[in-house]
Amino acid sequence: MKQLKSIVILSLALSIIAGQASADQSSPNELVSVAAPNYRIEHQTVHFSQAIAKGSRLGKSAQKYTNISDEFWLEVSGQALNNGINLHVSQPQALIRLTAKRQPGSWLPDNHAINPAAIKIFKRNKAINNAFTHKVTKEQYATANIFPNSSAVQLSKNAGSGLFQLQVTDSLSPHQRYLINVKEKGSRYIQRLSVAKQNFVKGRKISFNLALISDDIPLTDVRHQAFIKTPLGENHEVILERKKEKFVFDMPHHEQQDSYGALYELHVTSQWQDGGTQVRRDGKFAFSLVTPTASIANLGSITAAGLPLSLNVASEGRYEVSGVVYGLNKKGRYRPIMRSHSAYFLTSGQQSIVIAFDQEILNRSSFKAPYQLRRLSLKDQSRMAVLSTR
Amino acid sequence: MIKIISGALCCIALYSPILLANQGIAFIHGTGHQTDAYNDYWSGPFINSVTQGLANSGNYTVINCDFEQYMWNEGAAGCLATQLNSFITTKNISQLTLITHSNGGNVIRWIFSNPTWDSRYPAIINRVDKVIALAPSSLGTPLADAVTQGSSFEQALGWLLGYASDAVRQQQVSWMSYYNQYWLNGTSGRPALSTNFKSVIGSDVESAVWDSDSYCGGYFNQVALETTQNWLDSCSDGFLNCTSQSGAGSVWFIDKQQTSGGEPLSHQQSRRNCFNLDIIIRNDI
Repeated sequence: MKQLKSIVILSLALSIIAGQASADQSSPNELVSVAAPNYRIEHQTVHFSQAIAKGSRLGKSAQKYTNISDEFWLEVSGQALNNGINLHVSQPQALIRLTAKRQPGSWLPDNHAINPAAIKIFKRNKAINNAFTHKVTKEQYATANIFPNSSAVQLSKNAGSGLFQLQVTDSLSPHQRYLINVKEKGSRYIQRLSVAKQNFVKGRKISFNLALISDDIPLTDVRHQAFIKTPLGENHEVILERKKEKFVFDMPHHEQQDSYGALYELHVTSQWQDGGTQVRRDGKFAFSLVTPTASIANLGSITAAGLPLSLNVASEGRYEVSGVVYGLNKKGRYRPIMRSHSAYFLTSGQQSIVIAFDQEILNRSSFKAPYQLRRLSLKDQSRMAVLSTR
Repeated sequence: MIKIISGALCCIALYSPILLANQGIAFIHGTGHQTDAYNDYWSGPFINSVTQGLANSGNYTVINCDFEQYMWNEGAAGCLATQLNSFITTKNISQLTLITHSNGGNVIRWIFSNPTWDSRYPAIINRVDKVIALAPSSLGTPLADAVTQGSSFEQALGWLLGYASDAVRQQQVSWMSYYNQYWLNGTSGRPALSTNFKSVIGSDVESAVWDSDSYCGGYFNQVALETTQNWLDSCSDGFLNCTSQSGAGSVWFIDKQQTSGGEPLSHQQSRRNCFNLDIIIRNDI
């Protein structure tokens, strides 16, 4: 029996160690001590197991996220709109949405919305007749309960594409800021931004794929500019470095923010010019930055009661360990029985805990010991961080 | 013979867990801070019609929480857990059916996917027999991205029932991709939810001044909808793509398959008694 037990422990350790490594699956070596968060965190120990039905999905590792953009954004002043701004539009019938921007610390007065009847569009300094197929007022958007303080115009087919001048003839507050969103649905030009995972350990490089594409062919000589938006809304420029097919960047230095589940965003503007054609696309993806606050130190011997293990805890907080419990069927093959979770509020230091198994589920199951625990996961619930998954 | 049959029925009544269950329904609203969701979000006729499907039509609760917060916050999932537990205890509910709309589906998926987050969660998970998710925003919506573009300090755009909020940020497409991959169950490639989470999909929006159907649940201006459609697929309810609504759990039905007259359900209409939706749900309960 002793020998059997040690085989189980070994196979458990191997199945955990042999897990496919990717950054979100790593268990960082250098743990960080950070202050306990201010918000309400559960302190009670909670164990919960759910039986896994035959054929039920257990889940795969992180999947790639891809963002496709056929739009771009500009920010201009009221004065610039009254004087007229240049707009490079690459797709006929593009939608141009104008929104008065809220200033920090103030609610936006209603009268800053632009009347679409006051929007004029020119090409080579000549006004275009029947330039718009749609004009949407603030009131019309209000019926859909979306985009308040916004108005929009949709260019007609007749207006075509190319360089336009857009002017607002109503007098606008000169310093009021406006967002101009040009949406070119169906455009041949798209920005494709993809990232293999959305969970990164703090201090490591972040890589992603990026291309500006025309009719499925990546364009060359494209200028990319990027910035990070932090969970609190601050923007920091980042330098993109090209490494073969990928782009790589280091997170810019910024003050530690208590984001509690809110995400960082990488925003990328891609611009390309060929003769008179100028294309701009804005895209983004969201990701979390994990502070390594704890790690799994040792795994004990698995029994019907559960799996004891020890955690290295650098930051006081609530931690959840979970995994899928497997047992042997009559043919001697391992089959999943239940997913077990245990969460504890822990102080810093080495802590011994147990992933507790549900005895009723075990008893109901036709699968027998020796048990294994796979898909072991450690989460910092206090800071909403996925510390390791295997 | 009659005696034997009635005796058998008596035994079934005594021992069948289905017949003994004390079933209840909770109505869980979507994005917004509700204080009177019965009137402001669902409407009395919808709730009264649906609850006729219960053995005891008084066994229901209408949740009022702050779903402008992130789903994991105390004001959102915490508030929902408190109100559901209170309902379970007060009415001694043994079998709970949840009816969610829009982002309400995400908040309940949070509870099911993170059972140890809060000691109030397990009692709820153990009582729920199914979730009827009306137009859930399981994969987010590009409109949330369009609303929150620009720094959060400078948000200028609004959303359903108020200005851009944390809940709207959470429902951006790449944000929901992250939460679905690391914190929520039920989507493709993720562990299955431990309850039946079945969605009703709104596939289109009809908005025409001459069509009285357009006015059920509130009128959308056609021109405004045509422009928001620039961010959405051809199959959408005006706010959410069908892919997002069907992104978690299983699809119960796509609106036109079961609604009266094969009418589509816009995002507003999927929480009102439009085109027999209330009766379809009642019959399922």
